[in-house]
Amino acid sequence: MDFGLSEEQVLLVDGARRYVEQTSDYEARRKAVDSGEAYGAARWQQFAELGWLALALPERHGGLGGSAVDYALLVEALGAGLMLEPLVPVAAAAMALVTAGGAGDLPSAVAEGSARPVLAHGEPGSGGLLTFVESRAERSAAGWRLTGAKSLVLGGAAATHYLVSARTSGDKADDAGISLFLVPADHAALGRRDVRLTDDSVGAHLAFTGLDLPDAALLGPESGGLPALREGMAWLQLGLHAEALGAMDKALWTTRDYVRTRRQFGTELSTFQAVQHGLADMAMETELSRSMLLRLLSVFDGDSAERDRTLAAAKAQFGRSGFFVGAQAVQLHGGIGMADEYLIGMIFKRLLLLRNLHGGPDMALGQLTQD
Amino acid sequence: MTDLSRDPADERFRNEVRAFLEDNLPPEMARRNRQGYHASRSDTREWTRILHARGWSAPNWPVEHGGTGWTLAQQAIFDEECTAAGAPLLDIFGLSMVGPLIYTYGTDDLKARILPPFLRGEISWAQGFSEPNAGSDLGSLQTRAVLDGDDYVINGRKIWTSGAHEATMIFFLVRTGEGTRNGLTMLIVDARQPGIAIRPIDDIRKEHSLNEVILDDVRTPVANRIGEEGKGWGYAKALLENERAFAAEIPRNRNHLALLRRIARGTMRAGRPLIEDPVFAARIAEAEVEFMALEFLALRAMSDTDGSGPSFGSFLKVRGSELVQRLTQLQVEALGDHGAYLYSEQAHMAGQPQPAPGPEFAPGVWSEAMYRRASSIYGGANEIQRTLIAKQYLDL
Ligand SMILES: Cc1cc2nc3c(=O)[nH]c(=O)nc-3n(C[C@H](O)[C@H](O)[C@H](O)COP(=O)(O)OP(=O)(O)OC[C@H]3O[C@@H](n4cnc5c(N)ncnc54)[C@H](O)[C@@H]3O)c2cc1C
Repeated sequence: MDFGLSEEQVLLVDGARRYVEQTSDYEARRKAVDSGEAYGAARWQQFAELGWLALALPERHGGLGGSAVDYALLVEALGAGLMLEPLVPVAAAAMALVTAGGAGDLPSAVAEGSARPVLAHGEPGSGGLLTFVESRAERSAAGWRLTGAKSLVLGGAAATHYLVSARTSGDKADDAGISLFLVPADHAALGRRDVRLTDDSVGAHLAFTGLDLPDAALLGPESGGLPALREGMAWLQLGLHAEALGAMDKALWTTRDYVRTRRQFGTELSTFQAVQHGLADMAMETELSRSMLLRLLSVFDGDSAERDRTLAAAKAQFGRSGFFVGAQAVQLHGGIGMADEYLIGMIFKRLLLLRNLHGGPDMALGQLTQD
Repeated sequence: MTDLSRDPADERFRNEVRAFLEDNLPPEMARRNRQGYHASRSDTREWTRILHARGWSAPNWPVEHGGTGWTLAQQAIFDEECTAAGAPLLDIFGLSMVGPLIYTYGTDDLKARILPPFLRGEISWAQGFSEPNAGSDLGSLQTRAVLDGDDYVINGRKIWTSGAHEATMIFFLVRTGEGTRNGLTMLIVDARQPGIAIRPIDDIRKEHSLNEVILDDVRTPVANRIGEEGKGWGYAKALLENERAFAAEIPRNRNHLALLRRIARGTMRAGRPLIEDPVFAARIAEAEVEFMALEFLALRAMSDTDGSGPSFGSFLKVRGSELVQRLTQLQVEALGDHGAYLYSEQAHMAGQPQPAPGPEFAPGVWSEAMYRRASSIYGGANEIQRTLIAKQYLDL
């Protein structure tokens, strides 16, 4: 094993860090949120020009053919800036599209920055169980008719397409019977509600009440969409963990710097042992999470039981550590940690949101106990 | 420890409180306040007026000062029933902090001017202690009051002053001399006067509760001083000890436990109610065990009226705040996807539709969980409390 970075990886990480430093301070993020836009269109174009949207896509789809490791390094660096853009949800959907096949040039359009498909998979009652799909698609004269709802669609307000999972056969939690459909975001019959999330990003809540789709909307085999879905969700989780890691790292060092300068009782907070131990715990949680992410990357290529198990373990690890690090950062800042105008509270909110996605860590623990 | 049983008279009292709430708590007010959002000052005042008509607006005060004279058990029952019914929180700054200081140390004139209107719901308080450079180290505060004829003239800067923008009076801890023990004084100040500038600070929920308060030649009469000049530190410590006992948050924690169960019953996860998930059910059970022990620790602390036992204030503060954080975080987790949607307090208060879909119990849950991160920071942060336990309880 070699944990060192290649020359290209060093360049990639340095570039992303510089981008975050120069463009993504917390003040800029607040302005972007206040503008009411779902994402920064100009920034998205920059992401495309920098090659970030093409990074992990295979070359035959207009991508750069980078590895999952490259991708995780990039996202970790961007995660420190708490990016509002749906880079991770779009990258995950693109990987699902590549696996499913049949979406024509859409992946290349993702690489160029002109298309932003996202997965619309989770449902209000699914609680993170991958195979739990109650939305249904039935054959109709025109092709397919879709009924159901999708909740907390990450990147959903900025999306150009939704990659929707729906049952074409089987019962709600069966492995078989899930199909994937491509739904354009401007479909006239789509019930879409953009929803501001607790980290100020904008997601969507979708409702399909007999939404008509052409035959070609079905991607991959009928009732055999699970492998592509699994691939997409694996990339989604990988990306979200990498973002969380970037945020945790930012929280750790911001807090370290703060306690070095903040004075109470005639001395810096950093001289108090309770404060030192609080930071030491944050450091341990962060490095354990980084290690878990690397462990996940070591088994990431290809669908396997080992990857599933490690995904669940990473979900549990990041949930616990992310929450701890975020909450401890707020605590060690005191009052200023509770102010909206300061970065630390937002890091905590972001980490809490990430923790509870897809059923949260308890769902992952439950999965691990069943294996 | 001759009698650990409950008094049957207390259950009769509970029924009396319930009947009162049923007849007198306006349903629309209960709807607004049942959800985790903070009570508006107008609801608090209105509710104070309603309670005052029955002589109940100061549940924790002695009869001679306009209170109820209730036993601790009765006060606990009253709090519990009010919280469960959705009554707005009363003005804790007035009831548990400055009020008791005034009736204990204040002049008759001060008592007569301040206490009756407060009991009628006509005064809203804010607490002006913390400063930019004096948080945990409160004793080093720099806001200064100088005697000028019959007035104190105050200059300085306070921060994190909850509710200052809606308060009619603020009690300030200010410097009148050197050092901590003999250099600080407690003054009551009319909040609405030209020398006071209030800058809003949005909190982590993006709500306006916090403020920076800038005092520029603010005048307050000497008659508004609580107790003696230079004795403010002692009063502040007594008051914070009160704040800590309150910080066990027994009624609030009980209510949060009930809400957690309600959410877990009403949320489906992978085809079954979340409460049937053994991992999550164990989390609820863990929290309940903590609550059961904490409730009795609070009862022990409260019934030690002569101060002969160990001081449990810091114990209650640390574990009560950690429990409220744990419970509210579990609630957010239990909401699943709806725990990530940002609901609007304004929409809730106005009874308007929410900007995000979700079950009726969803709005307010995340907001409360965020706000409660501060419960381990304010009133003496938990790191400071643990040091106090080491000193006071362990004699280290
Ligand atoms: C929501 C909210 C509402 C508030 N409302 C009011 C109000 O109405 N009126 C008012 O006067 N104040 C109020 N406060 C202020 C509150 O009392 C202070 O935030 C608190 O005393 C901590 O001070 P600080 O923020 O300056 O943090 P600091 O004192 O700078 O502490 C930062 C961190 O360092 C730790 N630390 C400090 N000293 C030590 C030590 N010696 N050993 C170990 N650890 C240490 C602390 O525990 C904390 O984790 C409020 C605060 C909040 C967050």
